[in-house]
Amino acid sequence: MTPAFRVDGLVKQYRRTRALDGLSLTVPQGSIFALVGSNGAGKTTLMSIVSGLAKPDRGACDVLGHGPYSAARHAGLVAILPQDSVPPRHARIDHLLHYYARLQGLHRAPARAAVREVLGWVNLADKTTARVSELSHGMLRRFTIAQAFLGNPEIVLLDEPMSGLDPVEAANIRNLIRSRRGRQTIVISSHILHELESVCDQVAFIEAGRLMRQNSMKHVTRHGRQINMNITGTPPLARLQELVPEHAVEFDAAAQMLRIHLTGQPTALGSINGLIIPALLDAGCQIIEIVLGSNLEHEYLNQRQAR
Amino acid sequence: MQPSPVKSIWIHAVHEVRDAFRSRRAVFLLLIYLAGSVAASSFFINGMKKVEDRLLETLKLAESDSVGTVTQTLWETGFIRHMLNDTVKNEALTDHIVSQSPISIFYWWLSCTFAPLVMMLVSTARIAEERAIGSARFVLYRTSLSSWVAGKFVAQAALLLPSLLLSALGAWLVGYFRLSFFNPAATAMQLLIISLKVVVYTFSYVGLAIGVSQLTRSANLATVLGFTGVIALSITAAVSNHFRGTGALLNIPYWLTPQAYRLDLLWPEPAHVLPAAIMLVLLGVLYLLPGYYILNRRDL
Repeated sequence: MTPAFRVDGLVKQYRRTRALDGLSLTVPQGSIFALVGSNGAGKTTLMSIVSGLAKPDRGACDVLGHGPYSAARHAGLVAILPQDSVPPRHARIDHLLHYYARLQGLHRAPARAAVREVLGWVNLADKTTARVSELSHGMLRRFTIAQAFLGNPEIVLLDEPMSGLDPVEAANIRNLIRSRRGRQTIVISSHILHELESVCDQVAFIEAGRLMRQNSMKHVTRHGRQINMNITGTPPLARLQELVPEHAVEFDAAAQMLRIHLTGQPTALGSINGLIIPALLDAGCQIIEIVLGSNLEHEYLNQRQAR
Repeated sequence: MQPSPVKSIWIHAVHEVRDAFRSRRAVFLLLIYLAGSVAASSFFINGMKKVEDRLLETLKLAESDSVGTVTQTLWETGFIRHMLNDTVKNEALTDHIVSQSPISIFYWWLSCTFAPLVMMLVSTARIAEERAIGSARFVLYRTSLSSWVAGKFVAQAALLLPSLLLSALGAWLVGYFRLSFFNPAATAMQLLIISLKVVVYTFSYVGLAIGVSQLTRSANLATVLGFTGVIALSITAAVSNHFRGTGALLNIPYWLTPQAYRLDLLWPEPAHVLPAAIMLVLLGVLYLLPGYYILNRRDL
């Protein structure tokens, strides 16, 4: 299957800053893809290059198998929520979206329908005739998300989509993104890692313009390969290791976290719990929480420390 | 299916014109043209009246309340015709000019002088400010840069027509109410034709305005660059016109300025007007291209 986009050895220099330093990355079609990295890691630059808003100094970029972005080939197929960009303040949001839809090749009536549809998705149906200047920060963010989904482009690049959204609207946008799974390729750059973890199925860590790691979210977060138990007291580590000899048991005293790395043969979760939990209770420990797998933040921070 | 390049330009241009009215930029533009035309025409007639009064006083004739009669008489004298012929160096064109009413000729001078300046004031910021706030980024992944820039060019040129027609109306109204020697129908027709010709003349300046607008993200700097460009063209035209004829190479700078074609537009015959109009449109594109070339190499 042709990837949604693939970049190879991408280099981009802004005066003295090297934003991308040989980045190579492949984003599968239909995935919801998380881009994780510190400020200045190159996430925004990557999105700008894929959407044709920036030009690489070196390297290859192939979008939907048709080479680097060009308006003739990709307009209407690739969409972006650009960072730090504001539509004209005096403009009405339906006029703007209609203009964008027409540029994507929609005729008048389908354009109007598409505008209504995407405004409904982001709960702005009652603000159709509002001017940009009348929107709150959160509403403006939702409008800019709506424009990215206009006309069902094949690739949607969202740069910090949750920034400034209240909890209800953030949950709505998460649901919107989940609902597009398999229908569009959605790439999300965000520093809110637990949100990425909850919606994305693929993840790439980028630092200093290079790819540190790329894999499925389940793999990166060790979903099904690690059990975390938040406990009180000190666990009998030697006893626990005897009970599950095929797996590695470790205890992080600072975090009061007992971790069981499922390194050997696949084992039913219930059988591990059946062995470990009674032993912990016998030792006087109390179990506060059991979580399957690690989390994205933990893995990202570990990855950074390991550099 | 993506719209064709022509359709894209049309979509951009229509949006730009509508946006100009929604943002009241167009209203501001129309008001500038109308107010400028009314004020300048009134000023012209006041000046004309003073000259006529001084003339009547010198000739020991009775003062008259009617304005324009003496000017119109002088306008048609052989002396004025001779002076004009010295300037335009063509009998037929001289005849055509003196057949126009003085207010029409004044309006021609006024609009040719000030329309480019108003254009710089209003249009130079169009691309610069959209790049500054980032609103261009919502558009430029949906369309080519060339069609976006061409759409801006077409829209700004289209806004010229109502602006100049309105300013012509202002000049006509001032003439109608203040001049004694005034042929309403003939002057209206003259002003209409002159307005259309000035639209063509200003095409080249639209190209300049959109061209400099692509050079920077600062709307103010773009405006400064625009005015600098107008001044540079005027100086180039004046200097190269002075040295014209001394060598073929020295003619080239002159032919690259809009001023070189201004007089051709005054002719009544299309044989003179059309080539000049084509050259002015081409000059507009020529002034726009360096800015486009630079922006096309930059990140958006």
